[in-house]
Amino acid sequence: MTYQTVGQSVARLDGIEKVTGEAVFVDDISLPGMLHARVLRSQRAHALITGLDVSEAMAQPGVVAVVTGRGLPRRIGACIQDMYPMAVDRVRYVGEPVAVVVAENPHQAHHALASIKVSYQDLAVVTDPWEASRPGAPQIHPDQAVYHRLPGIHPLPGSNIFHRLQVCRGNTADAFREAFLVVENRYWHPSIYHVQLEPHGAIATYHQKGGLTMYASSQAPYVVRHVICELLGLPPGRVRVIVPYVGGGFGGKSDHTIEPLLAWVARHVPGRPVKLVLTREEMACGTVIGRGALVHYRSAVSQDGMLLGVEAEVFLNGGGYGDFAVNIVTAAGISATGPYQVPNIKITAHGVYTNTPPTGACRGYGHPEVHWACERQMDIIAARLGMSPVEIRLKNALGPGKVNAIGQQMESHNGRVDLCIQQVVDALGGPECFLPRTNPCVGSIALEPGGIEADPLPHPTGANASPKAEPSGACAKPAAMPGKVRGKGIAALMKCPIMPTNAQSGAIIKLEEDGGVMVSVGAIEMGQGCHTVLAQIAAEALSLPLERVQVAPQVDTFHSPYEWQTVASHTTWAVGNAIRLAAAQLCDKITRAAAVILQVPAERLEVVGGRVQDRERPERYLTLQQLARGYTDARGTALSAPLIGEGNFVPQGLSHLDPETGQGNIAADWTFACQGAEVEVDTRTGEVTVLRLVSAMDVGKVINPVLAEGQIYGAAVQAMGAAICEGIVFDREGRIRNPSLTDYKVPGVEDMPELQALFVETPEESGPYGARGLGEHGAVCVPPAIANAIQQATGLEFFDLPVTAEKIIRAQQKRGVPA
Amino acid sequence: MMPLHMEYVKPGGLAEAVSLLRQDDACALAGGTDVVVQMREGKLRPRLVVDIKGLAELQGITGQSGGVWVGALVTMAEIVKSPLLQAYRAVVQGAGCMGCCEIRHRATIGGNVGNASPSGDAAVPLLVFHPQVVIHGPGGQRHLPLANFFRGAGKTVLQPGELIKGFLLPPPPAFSLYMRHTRVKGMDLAGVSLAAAIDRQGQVTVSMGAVAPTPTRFPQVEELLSGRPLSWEVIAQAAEVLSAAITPRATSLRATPAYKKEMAKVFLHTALSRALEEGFGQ
Ligand SMILES: Cc1cc2nc3c(=O)[nH]c(=O)nc-3n(C[C@H](O)[C@H](O)[C@H](O)COP(=O)(O)OP(=O)(O)OC[C@H]3O[C@@H](n4cnc5c(N)ncnc54)[C@H](O)[C@@H]3O)c2cc1C
Repeated sequence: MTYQTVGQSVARLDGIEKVTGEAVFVDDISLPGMLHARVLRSQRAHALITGLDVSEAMAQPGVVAVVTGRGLPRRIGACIQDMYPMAVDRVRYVGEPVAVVVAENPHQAHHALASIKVSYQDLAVVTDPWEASRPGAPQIHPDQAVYHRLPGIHPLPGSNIFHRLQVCRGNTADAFREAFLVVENRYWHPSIYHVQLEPHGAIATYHQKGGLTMYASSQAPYVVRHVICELLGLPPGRVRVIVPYVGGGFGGKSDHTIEPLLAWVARHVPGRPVKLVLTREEMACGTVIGRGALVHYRSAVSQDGMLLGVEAEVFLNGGGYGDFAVNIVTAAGISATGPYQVPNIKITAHGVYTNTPPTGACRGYGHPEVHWACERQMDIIAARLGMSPVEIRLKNALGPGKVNAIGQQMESHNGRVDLCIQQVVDALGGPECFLPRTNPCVGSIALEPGGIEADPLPHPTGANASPKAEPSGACAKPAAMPGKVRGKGIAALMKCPIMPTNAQSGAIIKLEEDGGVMVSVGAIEMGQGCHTVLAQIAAEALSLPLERVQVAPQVDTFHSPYEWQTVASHTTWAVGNAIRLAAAQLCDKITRAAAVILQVPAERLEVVGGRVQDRERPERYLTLQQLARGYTDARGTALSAPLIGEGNFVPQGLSHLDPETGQGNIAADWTFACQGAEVEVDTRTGEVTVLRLVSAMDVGKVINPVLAEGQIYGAAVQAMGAAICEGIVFDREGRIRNPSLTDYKVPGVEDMPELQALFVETPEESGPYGARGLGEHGAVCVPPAIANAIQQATGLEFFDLPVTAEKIIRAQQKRGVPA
Repeated sequence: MMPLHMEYVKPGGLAEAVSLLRQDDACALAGGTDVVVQMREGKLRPRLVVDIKGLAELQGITGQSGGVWVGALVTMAEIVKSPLLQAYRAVVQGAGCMGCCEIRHRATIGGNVGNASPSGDAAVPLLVFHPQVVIHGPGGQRHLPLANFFRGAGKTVLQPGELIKGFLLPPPPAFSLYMRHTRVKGMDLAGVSLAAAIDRQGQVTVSMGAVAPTPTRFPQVEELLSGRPLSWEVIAQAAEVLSAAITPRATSLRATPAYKKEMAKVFLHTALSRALEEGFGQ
C-alpha cells in the first residue's frame, strides 16, 4: 500500500511554537481579577484531624478565603468513590490537602499558610504495600465496605485491599508438581515520579450564575468535567474544561489530580478566577506517583525450557486512595505472564491502600511492574537450564494461534514478538552474544525469595562473563577498560491498552473556505506529537496535502468532540479511527453536494488532491474551495452549505473479565516488542554505564517514523532512570525524603546511551492504516533488559530496582569478589 | 517561595559592602546558586541581601610570587578556562564537574567555600593546595589557611561584615587529581569525593568530601604516604587507614557509610595509581 502522508517523517506541527516559547501553557494564562491559591498539606501520613483553625490566616494581608474540606458534599472517584478532593476529618498521606488559602497574589497565599492551626491525632503508618496487605496492618479505610464502586472491583473487606483480580487458567498444582525446574523470586519496583517538565496547574472560575470554567494541564478534560459535575452537582453543559498545550503527562495528568480541589476552592469565591500551579516538590506529594509493586513470582519449567505454569502474587501500592490504581491492578494481573503462552496460570493482583500519595497511571500502566519480574525470571530460568535467554523466549513466545493469559487467541494481525526479539538480538551482535550460561542445574530448586540478598549465581568465568562467548564477528566490541566489564541483555513485552469497554473517541472535520480542513479532537497534545500524527491521518484520508490540515490545539469540552482521555497509548489508534470515519463522512457530503452542481451521480465522484472530480471524466471537477465558499450558480443561487464531517469510534466487542477466572476479551489490541541493553559496569565503583538501548516494536503501520522513534527513545530513557537511579524514598513516618530533583535523580544528557528503534510493521486490522499504540511500550522492559545485561557482565542477580552502584558493590562484597 | 519582606542592595564598593553586611540578617549574594535555592526552600530568610557581584577587588585570576591569586567572584567556568590554574588540576576538575554549564557560569569559588557544604566540588580539591583565605571585614584584612576556615556543615569562621576576598594559592604541586561519585552522570551532588596532591618533595595531601561535616584533610594518611616511594603495600595500608578514619552520617541519600568507606579506598588507590602512571610518587 502506498500512502501520500502516512509513513512520512513530517516535522511536528507545534514545533516552531514550542521552540520559540510562543506556545501557551496553563501558567502563561492570566485572567482579569485572578486570585492565587496555595495548599496547606498534611505533614502526617496517617492521622485524624482533631482541630483546624483558619481564623488567623483569614486575617492575613491579601487573603480572600481559606477553604477547608468542611462541607464537602460527597466523595469522588471514577472506579471507587474513596476520596474527597481535600481532607475532611482524616489524612492518609503526607501531602494531602488540609486547607487552601486564596489571596490576591501567590506570596500572600503562601505566607498565610503558616497561620493555619491544625491538630492531629496520629495513627499507625504503613507505606509498604505488602505489609499493608497483612492482617493486623493499620486500617487506612475502615469504612471501605460502604464506598460506592463500579462492578468488577473486588475489595477484601476488613483489610487494606481495595481490589483483587484473579487470573486462572489450567491447573498450576499439577504443573508445579511435574516441573523439571521451579524458580521463585520476589521483585520490587519502587514508586517513581513522572517528572513532567510542566507542573500541574489549573485556573478555575465559579460563575455567579452557576457553572464553572477551568483551564487545566490535564490529559483528561472529560474525566475532569465529569468529576467536577458530580462534586458540585452541575450538569455537563455548565462545566467547561479547556486544555491548552500540556508539557508532559506520562499518565500523571490523567484521570484527575488537583482539578476537583481547585473547583471546590473556586466555589468559595464566585466570579473570581483562582490559579493554582504546583511546585516541583508539591508534584511529588500532591498529585499521583507511579508503580510501587512487589511481585512474588513462581515459574514451573520443563527440561527443554517450556513454561508450564506461573503463579504470581502482585501487591500494588495504591497509596492513600485507590481509585486511580484499580485498573493498574487489572493491567498487572492480566500481563504478568509477559509475551508468552503459559498453559497453567494462577495470578492474584492486589491493590493495597498505604500511607503514600495515591498511585496513578504512569507510562506502562502495570506492565513495567510485572515485566520487571517476568523478564528477570526468564533470564534466571535460562541460566539455571543452561539455555540461551534468546532461545527460551522464542520457544515460549506468543504468536498467531497461541492463547494469552486471559484466554484471547492471537491472530496473525496482532503482531510478532519473535521478530522483535530477533531484530534486537541481531542489532546487539547476534545470538553468539547470548550463549547459554555454564551453570546448568539438575532437578528442582527454589531460590531464596527476593532482594540482592538472594544467592547470586556462581560466576562462570572470572571477572568478565564468558569471554569465550564473544569470539569475533559482529559481536566483537571494543574491549572494556580494566576494572570494567560489559554485558548484554534482552527482555520482551506485550502490552494492551487498559480501558473501559466503552472508551469513546470523536472527531470533527470542518471544510474551511480555502479548501483546507480544521480537525477537532478531544485528544491532548502533550509533547507526544499526536496532533501531527492525527493531521497526517486526516490528510491521507482526505487526499489533501498536510499543509491544508490544521488540528485545533486547544481542547475545550464546549466544542471539542468527546474523548475518554489521552492515555493507554490509544490516541493514534482510536482517535485516528474516528478521524478516518469523519473524513469518510466529509467526503460523502462533498460528493453529494458536488453531484448536484456537476450533475454527476455522487457515486462517480471522488475527492482527490483538493478537488472533487468525476472518476470517468476527471476534467469535470470542483475545487474544495469552490464548494466551501458556498457555491452559487450563474444566477447567484447557493447550491452548497457548510460541510462538516464527524466520526465516532468505540472499540468493538470488548467485555468485562470473568470475576472468578479473569478470562475475557478486555484488550482491544496488543503491541509486542523486545528491548535490549548493553552495559558497562565498573567493578571498583559499581557504576553502571548504559552503552546502548535497542528497541524493536511491532507497531503496525508507522504513521510518522521520527515521532515514533522519539516516543520509543523517550520511554526507554525514562525507564532507564527507573532501572539505575530513580525511586521515591519514604521515611518511617511516611514522609518523602527526595521530593525534589536534588535527590531524585533522573538521567541527564550525559547519561544518554546510544539509542535505536526498529520497527516490525504487521498491519493491525483494527487500526487506522494498520497502526497500533506505541507511546508507553518503550518504558516497559528496559529495567529487566539492563539488569539482565548486568547479570551477564557480573554474574550478579538483582531483584530490586533501581540497580545502583551501591547495590552492585554490596552484592560483590557479599559474593567475595575484591573490588 | 521568596520571603515577603526582604531588601536587596548592590553596594558600589568593598567598604559599603562590609558595612551593609554588618547588619542583622544580612547575607552576601554572589552567583546566588546556593542563596536563592535556600531562600526558596525557606532555609535562609535574610532581611537584607547584599549583591557583591560588582566588587572589583573580588575578581580575577593573577599570578603572584610563584602562586596564584583567585578572586572570590571567579566562576567555575573561568577556573576551567584559566591557563594559570591548569597546574592545579584537581580544582579545575572539581569546577568542571559542578552542576551544569549554566551553573558553572554563575557559581563562584567564594560562594562554594562560603556555603561550606561538606561536598563542595571546588572546596574539597582546593584544600590539597594549601591555600590561604583572604578575608576582608570591619577590622581590615586577615589571612587564614582554608583548612581552618570551616566550622561545620554550612558554618565558617566569618564574622558579621566579613567577606571572602579571594584565595592565595602557593606554587602548584607536581600532581593533583579530584574524583567524585554521583548517582547519575548528569547533574548531581557528590555522594563521596576525594582530592589528592603530591608536591615535588613527595609530600602527599589528601582531602575528602561528604564524609564529615566539612571538607576534610587526613593528616594520618598524608603522613603515611609522604616522603617515601609509593608502593602498593603503602597505598593499600593508607587506603585502610583513610577508610577507617571516616565516620560518615548514615542518613545521606547520596551514599551509605559503607559505600563511602569503600570508595575512600578505591578513590585513593585510583588517584595514587594515576600519580605513578604519570611518573610521580616514586
Ligand atoms: C542546579 C545546581 C547544581 C549544583 N551543583 C553543584 C555541584 O555539583 N557541586 C557543588 O559543589 N555545588 C553545586 N551547587 C551549589 C552551588 O552552585 C555552588 O556551591 C556554588 O559554588 C555557589 O556559588 P555562588 O556564587 O552561586 O554562591 P551564592 O549562592 O551566591 O552564595 C553561597 C554562600 O556563600 C556566601 N558567599 C558568597 N560569596 C561570598 C564571599 N565572597 N564571601 C563570603 N561569603 C560569600 C553566601 O552568603 C552564601 O551563604 C549546585 C547548585 C545548583 C542550583
